[in-house]
Amino acid sequence: MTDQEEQSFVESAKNDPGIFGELYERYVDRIYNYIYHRVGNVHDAEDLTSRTFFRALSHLQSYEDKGVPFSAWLYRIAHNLVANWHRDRKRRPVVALDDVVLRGLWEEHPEVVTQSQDNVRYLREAILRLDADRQGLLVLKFSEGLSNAEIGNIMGRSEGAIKSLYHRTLLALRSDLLKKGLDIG
Amino acid sequence: MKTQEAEHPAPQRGDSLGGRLRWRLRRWGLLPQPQAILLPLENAVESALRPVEPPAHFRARLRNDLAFAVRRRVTGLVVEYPKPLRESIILGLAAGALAMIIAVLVLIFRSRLVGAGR
Repeated sequence: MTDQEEQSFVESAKNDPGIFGELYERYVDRIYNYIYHRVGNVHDAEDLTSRTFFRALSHLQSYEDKGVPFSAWLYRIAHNLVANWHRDRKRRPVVALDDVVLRGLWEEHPEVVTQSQDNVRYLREAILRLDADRQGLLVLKFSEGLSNAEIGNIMGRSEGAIKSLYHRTLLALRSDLLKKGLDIG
Repeated sequence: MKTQEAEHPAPQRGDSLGGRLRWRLRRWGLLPQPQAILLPLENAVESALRPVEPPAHFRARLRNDLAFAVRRRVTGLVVEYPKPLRESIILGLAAGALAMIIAVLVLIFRSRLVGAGR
């Protein structure tokens, strides 16, 4: 579907909310994937995905194509909800129980669990420790396969700024992993 | 998707002195280019962030919930994300506590009235 086709589809959905179901089918996997990698567990990923689509439905009339595609608008909603989720968790930090017990509470995807080599696990934890923008950037780039320009649309930054942020993010991630004694490279 | 951002971006205003120095040293070839250092990390990040799909039951449930919300919206009712269970429990407890307080006050008031009547 081209951007123009998508735009006319969204306009139709404004007049006929029944069409929203089609938009949902088109984007639910991508939005869920983005949120899952941002929060790291299935329960919160499901909750935030639901909230994203309910919010999109209730604000659909206010969506206007100002050069930002509908998908970017949806990602922005998800991005903001995830940022609030992280903020809430900082305000009410999880009690530092035994790490293993805590990890046991996190329901993970089977496809993620199978890649449970220690390095990958440490890396995923290090990604979750990054600040919200850096974390979002990595997920959008690697898991969603978006270009710098598309990521810029979602994050409200220029392509150059995304490129620069990406580089700093990798350096920060590398430095964090080195501090934990993990050298990838 | 990986470092086609091959060249190291030029330092910006907010960069630390160390960052600027490293950038200069890389330009002069005294430090290895960052893409060479970071490529294995990029590969590792890519495999750590392998795409996942939502569980089928969740997907179907959310589709139904949204369809229901759309129908309500068409009939002019407000669309709202269902409140979390915890919120409902707190509201229920608060309402229960309020009802108990009112009942106790009514009993006290009644017993005083009866006492005054005797």
